[in-house]
Amino acid sequence: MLLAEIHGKHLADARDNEDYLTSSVFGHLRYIPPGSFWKAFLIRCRSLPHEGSGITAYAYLSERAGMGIEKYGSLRAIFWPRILKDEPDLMLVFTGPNLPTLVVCVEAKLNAGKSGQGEQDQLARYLRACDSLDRMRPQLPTDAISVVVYLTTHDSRSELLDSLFAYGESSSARSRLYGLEWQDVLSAAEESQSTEKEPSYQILHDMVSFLRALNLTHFVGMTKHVHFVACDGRLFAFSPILSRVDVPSGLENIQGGWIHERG
Amino acid sequence: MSADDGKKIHAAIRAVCQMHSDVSKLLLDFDDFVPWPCESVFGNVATRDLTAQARTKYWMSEGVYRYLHSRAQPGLVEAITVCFIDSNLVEPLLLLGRMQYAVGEDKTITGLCEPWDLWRLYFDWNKDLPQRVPIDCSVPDQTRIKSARVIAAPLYSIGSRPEVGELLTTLRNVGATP
Repeated sequence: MLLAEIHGKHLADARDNEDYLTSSVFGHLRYIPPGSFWKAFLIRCRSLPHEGSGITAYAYLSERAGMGIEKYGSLRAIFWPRILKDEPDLMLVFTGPNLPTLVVCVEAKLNAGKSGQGEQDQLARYLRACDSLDRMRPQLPTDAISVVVYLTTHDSRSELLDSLFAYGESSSARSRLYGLEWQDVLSAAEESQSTEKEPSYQILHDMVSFLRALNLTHFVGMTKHVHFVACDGRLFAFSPILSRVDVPSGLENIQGGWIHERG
Repeated sequence: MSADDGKKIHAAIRAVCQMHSDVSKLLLDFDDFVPWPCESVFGNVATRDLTAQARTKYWMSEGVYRYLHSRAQPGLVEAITVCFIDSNLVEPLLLLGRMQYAVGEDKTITGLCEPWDLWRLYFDWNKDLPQRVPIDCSVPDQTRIKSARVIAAPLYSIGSRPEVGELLTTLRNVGATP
């Protein structure tokens, strides 16, 4: 899907499918070893504010592990792992010699919101699942340091707050639940691209192109490349683009510009 | 009809698509400007009243919107609406609004806030409002909308993300013109 989208081979059903998006993006990113990209990625994962400001997943994991994620040796991506009755979208497992295992549990959304309320809150369930990683298949170390990242197209702080209440609000829980936007994944890829060697450079280059093609970028202002002759804004009132006389079908009913009345 | 008319129309359509693309990003980023905690009134739905019928004047959205309801101040909604098609428009218009709805004891905004409220405040319920100046608007039914303040700007005057934040700051902080 990723390369097809980059080259303009659009598949409408796939474009709006969050599972295809997750697998396309992280199916490629999993080949990037721990380094500048994953540091940039985790720096953009932000917790809810607690006693002032929120923290980043990078800061939390670095503090708990005793060193930054870029020092880890290996990354393993587990898609749709089973943890008892739950199935988050992705587990990113960072390992290294004599280092504690770091687990980033990702729940990705595109157009939908998180499921469940109260005890059944989706992110609360995943936080509990991360408390029991030994029950996961494939199994993970019970002493792994874990966080949950909620990946969306929009600000998700209200949803994170609901999930914390459902899980049991505490500073510890608040430090393990993070929000991230797809637009930030793109900015992390852009930021780190130049520092990565091949093939990571090409992967990140393709990722930037792909996410741009899906319009998953932040707003930077209105694009002003308008090459046709400007009229006064009413497309059919004057003739710079199209004449009512020349195109009679239906247009003879339009008088003096837009006639539609708001109902 | 000249030989170039089709190309001009095609260029216009491409420009409209680019405009929609930019506005989509603006809508999603709007959440970052609004004080937290808040939640979207209409989820990820940004428009309505489109037709799929063969008989129609056009198949384009007249406008798009995003409304965010404050969880800290029940009834307070900050909203963005971008107006594309209307007889009153000479160019696409950006509307930013801050409305206080008359929520009941259950504090729910559902059923009170309507998608075209910001549009109607600017075009229907108030007339000849200036642009780039926050205006305290008249409302037709204070049992639904207790108060409303709106600021408008041409969409294509927005050249950067911070400009949207500045308009919102103006909307919130400056003493509005009645």
